[in-house]
Amino acid sequence: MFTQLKKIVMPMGVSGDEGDISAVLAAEIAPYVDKVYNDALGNLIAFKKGKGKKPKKLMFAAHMDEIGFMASYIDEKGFIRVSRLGGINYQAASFSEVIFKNGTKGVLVPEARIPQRDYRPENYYVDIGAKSKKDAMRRVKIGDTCRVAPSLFKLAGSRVAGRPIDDRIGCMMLAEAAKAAASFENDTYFVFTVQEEVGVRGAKTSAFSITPDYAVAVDIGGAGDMPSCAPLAVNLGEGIAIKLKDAMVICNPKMIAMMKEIAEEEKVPYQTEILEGGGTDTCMLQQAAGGCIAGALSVPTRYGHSAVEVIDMNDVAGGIRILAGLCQKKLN
Amino acid sequence: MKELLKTLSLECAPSGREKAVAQRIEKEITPYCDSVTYDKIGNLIAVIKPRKKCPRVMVCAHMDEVGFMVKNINNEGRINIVVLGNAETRTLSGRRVRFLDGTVGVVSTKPIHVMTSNEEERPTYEDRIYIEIGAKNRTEAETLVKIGDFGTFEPKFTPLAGETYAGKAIGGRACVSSLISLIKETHAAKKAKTLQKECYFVFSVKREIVKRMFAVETAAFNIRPETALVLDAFPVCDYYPKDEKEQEIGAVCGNGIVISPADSKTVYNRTLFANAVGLCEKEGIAYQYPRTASVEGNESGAIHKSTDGVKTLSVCLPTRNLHSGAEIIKYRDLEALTAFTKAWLLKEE
Repeated sequence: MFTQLKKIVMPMGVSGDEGDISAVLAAEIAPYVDKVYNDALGNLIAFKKGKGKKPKKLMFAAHMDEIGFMASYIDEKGFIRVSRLGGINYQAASFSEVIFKNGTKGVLVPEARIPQRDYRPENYYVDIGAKSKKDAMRRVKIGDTCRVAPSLFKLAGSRVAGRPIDDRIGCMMLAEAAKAAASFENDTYFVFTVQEEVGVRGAKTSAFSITPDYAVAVDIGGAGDMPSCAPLAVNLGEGIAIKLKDAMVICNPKMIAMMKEIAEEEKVPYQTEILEGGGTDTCMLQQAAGGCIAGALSVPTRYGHSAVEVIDMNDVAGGIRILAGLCQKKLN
Repeated sequence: MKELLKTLSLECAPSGREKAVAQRIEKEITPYCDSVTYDKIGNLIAVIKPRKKCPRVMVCAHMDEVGFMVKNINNEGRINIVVLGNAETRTLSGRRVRFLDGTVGVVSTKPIHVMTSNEEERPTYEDRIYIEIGAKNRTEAETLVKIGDFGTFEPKFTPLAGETYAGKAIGGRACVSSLISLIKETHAAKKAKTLQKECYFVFSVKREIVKRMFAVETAAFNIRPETALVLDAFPVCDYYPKDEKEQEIGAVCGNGIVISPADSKTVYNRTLFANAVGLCEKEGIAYQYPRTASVEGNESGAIHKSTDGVKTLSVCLPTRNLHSGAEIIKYRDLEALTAFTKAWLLKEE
């Protein structure tokens, strides 16, 4: 599963520029579904027809975009100012290698005379080693996206670290669930959404066009088992988390109960999550068009939005079984 | 177009009361359109379609402006207001204003001579400013103004040197005049049988008063275009050219239309963005980029997320003193905007 995840973690897909990752995921899931297509905003939608008469519509959503930057100004010396796309943790991103979509490498650094406590987004620039404005403009154009270099490596036991695990882990879980499901009892849509990190935008339009009866988002969540962290009753390795609530959604009790039931049938360990900060695609799935019964699975994650997001692959494996279980369950 | 710009900028249309300017636009465009209608929220929608089925495109500009509404009249006959739109109270202070029925007044606040140093540094709270209409008490004031009445900055159109124009709401109205001129060009293209798109022109309402939900969303929902182009004013901060920090959002009046790859509400469609830049290069249209992608977003934020998604682009007109009683634009930027919209809608595939 590590190799599989690495394949999905590495491709570029900063919010609004998800073409590369979309192509990888399309190839990954195509053999297991009936139809794969992109919509106007770029959401990748994989559709599998359900059995029987008038099956209900079940939608899974994991966002394929990642946080990153966009080149917005190139100065006379060839230093590049970048604007953030998504919730960048500048402390974590300081002094790191960044890569533009065309392969140009650079380093993201704060202005030298700014004291560390005063670091603000506008104090950062990317140094690509250019000799002049002209030199820089040959390599990078205004509007080009870049990101902190991706990586994935193994830690002790079943744990892995790297970026962007948010939310490529969810993308992998959707693809794996499509492979693992023994049958599809519902019209099932696997949606790899765009622009989640800049305000859950892709989920809104994809849910509008699909108008699902049931929808499940899969994203990273929080963890509460690190030294001196905010209290959260979610521990790495103790099972996938069934979301009860985050800052933007209260999950539907029917969906929560259904996922718990499947977990118990499949003997998959699970936890429940109440995330106080941060939202997910779930809120838009619940509200788009006429609304639907929505919930979410969260992969317990330490150090989200850093270059060293940490998860436990056992939690992931359990999550895939719950997703496959939902595919196999006749919904009404 | 200069006459039209003047006429439009002299009309008063605070958010929620856009009738005066809407009627003026309606009169101007009706002879050129297949249909001109209002939706239920008040957006003015003009349609020009070729006979055959073609891709559907929406082009929009908002017709409302920053204004105010009367919320209280006190015993001394002074009028407290709610500001409609994002205007700083300091830009209101000492300004002549006009209510929609023609009553005039002046926005008043504490004079600087008696302000504490703390008050000098901070903008005055909305509650502490009032409009003086010269009434001696509440009864007299109420014969002229009622709670709930709307008003705007006093309309005045001032040509400055070098084809520069100043006036209230001039950035927004310049976009409106550009859209009107685009409608006329589109009509000509239809007559010449070269029109390749189903064109929906939207003059939207209530753009200034909402942070998240734009009234234009209802128009986008009903039209369901494949592609949308949003015209709007862009906040310019180009004084102190030597101080980089003052220039953070980075567009300059006179340097051409502003094309953004992203702003706070939208990451623009990458193909449309790249093609727009290419089109400017090809047609020799002056354009510039903002210095950051964190500039406050416009109606694109609602349009691109409406229904199952709309490919969206925004081109903006650099405007100084945006949301004040004397906004400033350069006429050559407006000409660039007009040239761009024409080339984009009528020449591009």
